[in-house]
Amino acid sequence: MNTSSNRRGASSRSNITTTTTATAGTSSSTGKQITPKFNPTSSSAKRIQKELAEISLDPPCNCSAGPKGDNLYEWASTITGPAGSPYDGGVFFLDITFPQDYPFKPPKVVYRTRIYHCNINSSGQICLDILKDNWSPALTISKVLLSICSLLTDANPHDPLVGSIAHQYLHSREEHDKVAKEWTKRYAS
Amino acid sequence: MSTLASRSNNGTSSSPITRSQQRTAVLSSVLSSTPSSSIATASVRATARGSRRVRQNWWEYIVESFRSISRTSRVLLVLSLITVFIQVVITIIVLVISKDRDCDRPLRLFLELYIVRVIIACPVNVYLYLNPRDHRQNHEASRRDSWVDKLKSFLDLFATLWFIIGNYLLFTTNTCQDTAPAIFYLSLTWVILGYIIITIPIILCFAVIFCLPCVLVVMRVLRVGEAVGIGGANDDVIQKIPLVIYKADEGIDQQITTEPAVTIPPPSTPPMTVPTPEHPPPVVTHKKFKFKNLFGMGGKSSTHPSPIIPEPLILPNPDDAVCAICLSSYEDGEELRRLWCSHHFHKECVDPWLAMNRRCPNCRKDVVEMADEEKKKKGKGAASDDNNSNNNNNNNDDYEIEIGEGSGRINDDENRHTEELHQGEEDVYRKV
Repeated sequence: MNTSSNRRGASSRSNITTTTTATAGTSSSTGKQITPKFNPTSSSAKRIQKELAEISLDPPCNCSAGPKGDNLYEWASTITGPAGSPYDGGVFFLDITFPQDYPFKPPKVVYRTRIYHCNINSSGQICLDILKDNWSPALTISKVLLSICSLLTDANPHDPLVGSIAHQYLHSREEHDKVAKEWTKRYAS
Repeated sequence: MSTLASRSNNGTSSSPITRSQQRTAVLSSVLSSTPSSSIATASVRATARGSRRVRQNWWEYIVESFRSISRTSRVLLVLSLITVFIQVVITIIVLVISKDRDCDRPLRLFLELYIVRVIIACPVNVYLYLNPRDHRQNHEASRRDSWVDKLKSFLDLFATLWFIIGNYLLFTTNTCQDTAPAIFYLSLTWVILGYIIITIPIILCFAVIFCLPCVLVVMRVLRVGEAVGIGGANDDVIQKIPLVIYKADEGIDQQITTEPAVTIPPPSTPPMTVPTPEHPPPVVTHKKFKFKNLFGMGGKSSTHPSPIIPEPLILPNPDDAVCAICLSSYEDGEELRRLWCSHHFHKECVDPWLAMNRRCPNCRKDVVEMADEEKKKKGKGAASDDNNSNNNNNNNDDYEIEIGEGSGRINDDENRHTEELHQGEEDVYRKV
């Protein structure tokens, strides 16, 4: 799975170099075309393409991401469990869906692999402020993935999505880590 | 009268005080001079000018307040004024028409007192609309407000009582329908109106329970969020944000490595020196424009005079010349908005964002608050322009702290960026 995603990344990278040069060539003309009325579709596609270039050239540690197929707005991502956390050694798959008015609305990020974490529920929903109210258009998908990654090392039990796990995290941490390791072994490796 | 004049000057000139302060100042001047205005009209010529000024003040106050309240309240205020006007006109017409028609119940008295109540309540309502609770500040005004509140609750109580009495009269009458049909049906109409007003909360409750999406749509249409203080910034605020023109410098790369400060103007100047078009009601030539401005619907060309030439912005570090929203680098001559927290973006990128969310994309500082601060600062700093750069620096420190607290680890990258930028700026200061 890893190799396939790498291959995909490589192929997309070659694509990107061509697209970026193309956009660089035309950007002066398109820059003038932008009217006060914002055209969400094209600008979001442009921005996602830029992010794809960035994340392929300089991927954040433990993370990789790229479009699933032809649709630029549907991405798949993998996060490897950070060392030192109970998720160490696991490979977690995520789905990323960009909205049409992307940099203005947060992307939807969902875990496809089951994980024992107090901020991630059984259907993969992530409780993270920057994916909801605290979203800012200056955030990029690599920053989002980084903070999801850091959520694995430092859970936030005070704003939990799964109360029981948060309770266990706070009161019997060893038990929690044990179960998390088991789940990682069972579902993510 | 002289104090009045000075106050009114304060009100009209582009003085630094915030709008609400301005309004209270104008109001107090108006109120303090009302008695003298009656004297003035009595002792004719000498104070004719004074009375005109008083009238002007009233008008100024009303216009100023009207502009400062939210759009929803403006619409509601106008609607309620129209209903009052219609009610009064219809009632008076009916009372005049059926002057000598009587019946077994005193419905005529009912209508008369009803309309008196409506007329008295009208200015009270206008006052309450123009002085929303969150704007009330000084002590004198609060005393006046408590008085107005009392009057308002008395009028409401009276309205309720009168509504019940009207019901009683209408249900017990036998002859009114035949002998004085106009009065009867008008009373019936006002009572039914009362029923509608009473049932509005019930309808709202039902709407929330059974059709929440409809309520949300209505709230969005009426921009309730704006009034509550969440969501996006007003268009006026966005338009006040200084514009700059990006200027690419060809040889800037070499100059950075050798001598960074040569071509760079002091970076703190643009937000201060760009004349932002905030002004008290302009002495307008076209009445149409004035009317449109009142409703906040006027074209930008009328409210914001165009002759502001945006300052050029030259960025020492080419890495900074990137719009964080679209991630593309600035092209020569592009219009950028430079927020008061000194973060810059493409105008067409940041405007739609601010319309949805009033926080700066980079540092999450509230643009509306910054606009207010800027206004105040302008007042204080007008005398000593030199302080401005210092102010600006302080400002920057503020937001850096905010980043640290607010968004934790995610923004570390940006934090570093801004720090670099500051380093650059400080270097510039030293050289200059």
